[in-house]
Amino acid sequence: MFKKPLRSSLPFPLTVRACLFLTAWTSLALSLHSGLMAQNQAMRAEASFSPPSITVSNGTTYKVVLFGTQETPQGAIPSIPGLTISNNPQVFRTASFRNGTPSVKMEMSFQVKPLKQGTFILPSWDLKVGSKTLRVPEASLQVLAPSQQDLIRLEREKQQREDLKQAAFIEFDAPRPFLFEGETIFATISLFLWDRLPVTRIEQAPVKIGDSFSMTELRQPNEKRNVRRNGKSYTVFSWPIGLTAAMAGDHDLSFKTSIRIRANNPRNSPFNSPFFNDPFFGFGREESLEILGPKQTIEVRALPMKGRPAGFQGAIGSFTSLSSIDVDRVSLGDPVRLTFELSGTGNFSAIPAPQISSDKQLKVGPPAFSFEGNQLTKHEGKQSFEYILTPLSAGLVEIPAIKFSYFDPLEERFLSTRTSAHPLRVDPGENWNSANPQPVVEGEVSNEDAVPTVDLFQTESDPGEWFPALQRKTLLENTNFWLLQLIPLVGFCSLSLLGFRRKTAGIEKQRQKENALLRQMKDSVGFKDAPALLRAFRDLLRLRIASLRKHPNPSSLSSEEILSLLRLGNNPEEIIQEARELLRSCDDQEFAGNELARQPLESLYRTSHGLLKKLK
Amino acid sequence: MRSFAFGILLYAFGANACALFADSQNRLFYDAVRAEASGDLDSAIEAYEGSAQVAHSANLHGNLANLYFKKEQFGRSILNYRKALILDPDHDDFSANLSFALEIAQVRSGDTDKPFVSFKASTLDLWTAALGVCFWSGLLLLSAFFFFRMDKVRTSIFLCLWLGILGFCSFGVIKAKEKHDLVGREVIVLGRIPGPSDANRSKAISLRRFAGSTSSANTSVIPGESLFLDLDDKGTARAHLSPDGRKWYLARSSNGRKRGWIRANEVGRILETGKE
Repeated sequence: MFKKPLRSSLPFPLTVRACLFLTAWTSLALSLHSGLMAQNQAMRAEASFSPPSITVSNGTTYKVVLFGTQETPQGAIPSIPGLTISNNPQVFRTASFRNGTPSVKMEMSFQVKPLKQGTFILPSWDLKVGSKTLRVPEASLQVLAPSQQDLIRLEREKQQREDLKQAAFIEFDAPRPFLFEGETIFATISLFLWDRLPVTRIEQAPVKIGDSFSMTELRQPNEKRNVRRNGKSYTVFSWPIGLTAAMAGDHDLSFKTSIRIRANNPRNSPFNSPFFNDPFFGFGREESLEILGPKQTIEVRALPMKGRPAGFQGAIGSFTSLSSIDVDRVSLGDPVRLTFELSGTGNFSAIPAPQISSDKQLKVGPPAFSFEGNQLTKHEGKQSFEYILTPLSAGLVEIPAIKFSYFDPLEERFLSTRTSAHPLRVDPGENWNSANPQPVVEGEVSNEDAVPTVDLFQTESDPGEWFPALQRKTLLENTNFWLLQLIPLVGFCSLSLLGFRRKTAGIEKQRQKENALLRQMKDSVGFKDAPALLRAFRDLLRLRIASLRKHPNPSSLSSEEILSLLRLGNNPEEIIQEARELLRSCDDQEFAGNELARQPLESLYRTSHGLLKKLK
Repeated sequence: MRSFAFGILLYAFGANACALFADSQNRLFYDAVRAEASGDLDSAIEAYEGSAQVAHSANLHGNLANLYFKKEQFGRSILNYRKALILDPDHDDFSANLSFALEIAQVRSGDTDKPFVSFKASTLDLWTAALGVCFWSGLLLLSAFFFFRMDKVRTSIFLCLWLGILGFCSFGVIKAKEKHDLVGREVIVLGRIPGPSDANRSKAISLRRFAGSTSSANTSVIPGESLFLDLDDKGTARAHLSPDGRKWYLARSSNGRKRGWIRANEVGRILETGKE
């Protein structure tokens, strides 16, 4: 009996499930043991070019196969002159059983492009796999001369490159191949777009590449269609610009822009520009295309120092100047408008207003600027500077001529223009106080039209001194004012203190003097020295009476003067008489010698001391 | 080198821009002068007013007063002449123009600066300085007399003289301060602001019994007339905010005969005291 194999007796889904189960186990086993397999299998490397023989216009592949490992190796392919080897290999890993033995390998493919014909030998080189180093053997490639087909293809590619360059390009037109430092020229940037190029929009206006120049802002371009160039029809977008040279020397200048185009599948194009392969350009996605203009070297010359006028303020170009005033006769204080106009071509944006200084006759206000012409480039037009002048004195005043110096880049020399002076008659003005205002009757509506306003009020054309607020701080609110009061206060206090000290010092001195004289009187009694006693008494009396009567010089007082001062003080007659006796005794003693020596000194001392106490 | 050159260019541009845009009050002033010279009085007034928002100058307010006079807005004209005279009290033209404007506006000149011309508000600093100088010089001389023991008779005569001068200067300071404070409260009647359905063509402005448009008028004033705001306990102008959002001031004439409530936008303060 023939038995059916067990497998065939199984229902179909069960068979599929069993196959799947087995496959899964096999894969799992392979993956689990791949490390073991790799460890068991000896690692080695092989290298070859595939194909090993090519023509110069074709490419080949450099293959490196690593057996016994699937780890990513590390290393560098030696460079061979004449061969371009890509750095981005394609990697392919495999695992298999050969005769029951597990085997793993890794294959790396590098794209190689020959640059010339000949035989190239890539020498052996080292690869590091984990901690081990593998030696990659050398490989040889033979590059043969190009075939006829290769030559045709190369020619086609070259043509396509030229077409790409001609499809969209930038041109920069400058009037001269050189500029002067600070000079502004009018130039045009033109973007040529081939009519067959499926441009959807210009992404970005041209951008300047070159730091040595400054450029005015770009606005909407001018569009011109059907311009023939290189046997093709173009649409040209042009931007007028004012280009200013910033520094002297030879400087590169170029422009770049980007446009948006409709593109087909890029993989079909060798230049990533698929529209060349698609005559209808399709309606696919959009792609940005950057257009770089040719680099131009522009010579920027420094302005000559020779012949440079003193009033030169950086104007470069060709100019004519004109000045005018709005009136030729004004009243004193009325403003006069002086307009200085500068016409021509040049760097208007960099020209400052000519300096007109005020003098005794005219006061000059700051100018107002205005420009008529292309506001964007400010290269050609008319620049006006308007000054407000105020005559300061009556009579015939001359508004001075304005000199303007500039450098002419065409003539390459400095030139100056001078406007004519303007005579201005300045009337002294009417004294409006003398004007008779309309008589106003109480309750009557005044005639408004009759208000004389024209001649009576004058406008000052100069603001004068500015104040941050109308209400200024008064001195009473000023801290400095009060602080300033400290100075005289200190002076006053010092003087008072000095006066007081001087007064007290004088009193003390007198007191000491009186005490000394009193002591002398007492001592004289002890020594029985009558002359000394009388002298001391008289001095003491002089001091006392001078002190009481505020006499400035006590020592000069005679006896009679002392007595008269005593009378002035309303002293009693007895005291005056007593004083007279004593003073006579003093005089006698002074002029008569020792005749009085017989008098008792004790009583004389008591009398004189008592008299001194009673004085007032 | 390039960055240096660019730095110089940038600096030059910046300096130019600063010179152009700095000094806004000057720029506005000259714009106004140009506008006036062109005959565009409204633009000139606008520019002058703009400049006055930034800073003040006697010529600015004088010019503004002239323009308002030409526009026959006598209240504003007189107000600006007063402002000009505060900044430059000795300017004869302003004084003369003010007198003329007052005359044209049929306003009797206020007595703020009239009865005691020497004690006007603008002389407060002068009187203060004079008082200070007199006080200290006299005191120093007295102390010198004391130091040098000057006789009592001469000292007494000097003392009397000194006290007399001091008294006069103090009087001057007090009177000038009074005037100064009065100017701080002074407002000029600008003009009537008619409502949309207001058929009243009169220029007179009512001083009302109560702070409200419907209140009956106590009396009336004309544009250019001078009033003085009543102050409250805090020293600020006595004001009232009506339900319709209008601000009212209680004001009176210099002699006190006219008194009543007036709308804030119908008067202009000579000094912005900040005490509102």
